[in-house]
Amino acid sequence: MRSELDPVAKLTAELEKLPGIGARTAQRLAFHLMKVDKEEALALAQAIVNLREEISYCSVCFNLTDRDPCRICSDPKRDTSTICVVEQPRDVWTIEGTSQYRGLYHVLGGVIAPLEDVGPEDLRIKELVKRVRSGVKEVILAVSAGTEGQMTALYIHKLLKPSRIKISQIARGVPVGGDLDMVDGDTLAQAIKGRQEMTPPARE
Amino acid sequence: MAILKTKAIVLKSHKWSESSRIVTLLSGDFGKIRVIAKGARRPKSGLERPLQPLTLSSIIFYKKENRNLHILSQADPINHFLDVKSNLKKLTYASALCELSDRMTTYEQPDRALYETLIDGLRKIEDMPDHQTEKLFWYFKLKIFKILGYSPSFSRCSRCGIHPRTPLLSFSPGLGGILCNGCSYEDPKAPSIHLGTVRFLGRLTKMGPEGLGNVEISELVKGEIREVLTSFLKYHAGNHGRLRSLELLNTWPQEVR
Repeated sequence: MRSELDPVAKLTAELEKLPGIGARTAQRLAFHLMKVDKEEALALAQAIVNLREEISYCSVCFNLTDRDPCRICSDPKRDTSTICVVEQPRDVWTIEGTSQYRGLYHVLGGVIAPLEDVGPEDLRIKELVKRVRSGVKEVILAVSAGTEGQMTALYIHKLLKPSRIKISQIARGVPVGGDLDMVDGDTLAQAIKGRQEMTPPARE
Repeated sequence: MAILKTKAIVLKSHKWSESSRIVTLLSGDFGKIRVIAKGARRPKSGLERPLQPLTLSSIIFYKKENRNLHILSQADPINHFLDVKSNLKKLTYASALCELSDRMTTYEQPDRALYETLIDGLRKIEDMPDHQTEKLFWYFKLKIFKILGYSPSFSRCSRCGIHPRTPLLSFSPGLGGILCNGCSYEDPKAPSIHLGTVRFLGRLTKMGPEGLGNVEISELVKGEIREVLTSFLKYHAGNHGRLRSLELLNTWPQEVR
């Protein structure tokens, strides 16, 4: 029987704690790390150490960053009058991947979920309200389209409404390349409600 | 293992592993059931929308005997209650109604009346103007109490049975309703309640919120009703009777409520 002090058993036990990793996968990864070059395994270990030691939350937008304020908040080319509100830091990465947005972000850290005892005070909503007071013209709500995401969006909308800035929510509807007959009725209804006027392409 | 099909309302749903969900639903045929929806969080599964809380869906699941976690195979939305989900007040009270149905029931005890009352409640919350939402919530809360056999008495004293006429009475959750002044010593800790509030609750139970029309209720009456209904639920369900959707509502700033 393997001792708890056995390095392989110890590593397997640690890997097993990761999301989506079961006992067999953890064991396979542990043996893989034994097989690869020592430098490669140590580079992985160092990357994990660096991640935990160098990454923290940006004090302005609460995105994960290696410097404070983060690269997005301190970029002079970004549009500081627009804030896109997202749930998690990974949502910032997703939106940045589209290259369509040049404003700033605000990471809430979750959504209002009464059944899980998550209320507005557990999220960074107060900080958002404070930021909005300093010359922001538009807040884009890009939280998930589920019931809890919608509750969060409605709450923020009501809270920011008196500040008379533009509050928008990302559009919902037919996915790019999707067939209409594969879209459910309610999504299609929202797509029709949120339809946009077609504008002719600009002349070159 | 049986393959079963039913209509059910999603009470709650939480993430499980990388891509799955565990969902609690209330159906008329099987009562409250819990299913695991494997791969539900993958975009192509098509299961995210029918499994959102406050959605009425048609589901197919594999029922395992002697277990209370079954396997969901298919789900198609019937009603998303979109007008409820686009209004914060309606959404909060509708969530509280689902939470109440979840907390007051045990798994796999079919109760068609409860299921139909919940659907009716959500439909009414969706259709009626939002200033009526709290009244609707009180009405359906009392109706759910009645279906589950806990209906409080608002017309007669719970101990001696007389129709009280004095302006100030008390409400004893333990004795199951109002107490006249002569019997109030039976439960000295029972919160006080005005006769006007008692009469309003009696009318609400009989006629429903539509029957009351646009009757304006004072803040005093509202406060008494909230206290009475909350203490009654806590007495019967203990800490399990805490409706967190409503507790959150009380912590929200005034401009949001």
